[in-house]
Amino acid sequence: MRRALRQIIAILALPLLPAVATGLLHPRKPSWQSDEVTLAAATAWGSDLLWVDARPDADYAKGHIPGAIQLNEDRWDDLMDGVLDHFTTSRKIVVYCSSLSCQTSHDVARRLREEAQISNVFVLRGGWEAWTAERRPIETSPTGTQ
Amino acid sequence: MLKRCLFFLLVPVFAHADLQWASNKVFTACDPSVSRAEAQFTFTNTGSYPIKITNTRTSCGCTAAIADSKPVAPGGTGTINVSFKTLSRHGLYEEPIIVQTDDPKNKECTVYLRVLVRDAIEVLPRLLFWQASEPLDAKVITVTVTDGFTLKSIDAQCDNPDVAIQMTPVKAGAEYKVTVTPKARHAKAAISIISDVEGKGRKTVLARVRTS
Repeated sequence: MRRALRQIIAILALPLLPAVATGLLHPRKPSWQSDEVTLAAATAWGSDLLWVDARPDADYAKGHIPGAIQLNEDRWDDLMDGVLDHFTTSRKIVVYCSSLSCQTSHDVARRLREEAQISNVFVLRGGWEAWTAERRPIETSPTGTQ
Repeated sequence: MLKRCLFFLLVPVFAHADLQWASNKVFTACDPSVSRAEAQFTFTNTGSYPIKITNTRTSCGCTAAIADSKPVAPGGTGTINVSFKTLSRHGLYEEPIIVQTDDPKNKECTVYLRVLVRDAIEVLPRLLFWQASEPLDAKVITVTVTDGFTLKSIDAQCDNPDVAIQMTPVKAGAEYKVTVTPKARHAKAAISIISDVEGKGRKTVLARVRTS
């Protein structure tokens, strides 16, 4: 009985070896860590959090998360200074765009990581839709300002 | 009567529609001086009845997709033209395009446009940051000329006298380093890397400096 059990465990464990090796060594291995955070997790960071709004100017002007700084790729160089004025290395940056299917927040987060080499950059899962779905407060202001 | 019954029984079995994409991922590379990257997706209707593209959806305002409005007959081919706004963009983008059809069995499929927007010169990092607890020691920005581009001249300028910069070639025409040394706390500076590339003209890339 024990022998059979050992054999079953060995058979089940055997495929783990190449799987682990692939996971560690494969050049195109999938990332174990997602760069997305939920709204609940992000808001729990409190004052250590800097919201970055990656949506187009018109959407930002209509309404955004209170305190969010605008940074979209249409006006990257113009808007980058605004982000850096509020950035400290201890603050986590959470980027959002319109919805779950929106790719822009991932692109902005990637550029912040690659070009500015800021490591604590995340993407809000569900984006602006997730914020408004919970009927949280919104702020309106002219584009390019806080 | 029997023939008619067989017809109605068998038509639903054999009638089918299918879109075969020449490639469901199209890759293109361009530099940001081109305002839009263009690409085309081609498909063949390998089914037995016509298919019409009813709608296309993209994941951001930077991508536009226009499909043939006419139905594509069995054996026929159709196209979707996609353009991607490259203005101010940089790096590799993968934009999903959701294609909706009038085929009840295949209502929706997704194709991907991959665009590499690459400058003639790469500047990394584009932000140098000194924390309050950190000594104001020199840090380096690396400037690399992208393969396929020929550099005619390059220069670096800083808009703040409290930040000293020095550009030196690592490999002339291919790689340079800009050594940045701030002299004061709470300093803000923009370093302009001004390049003149054959066929592309003069271009400025900004790198930013902050000390706290």
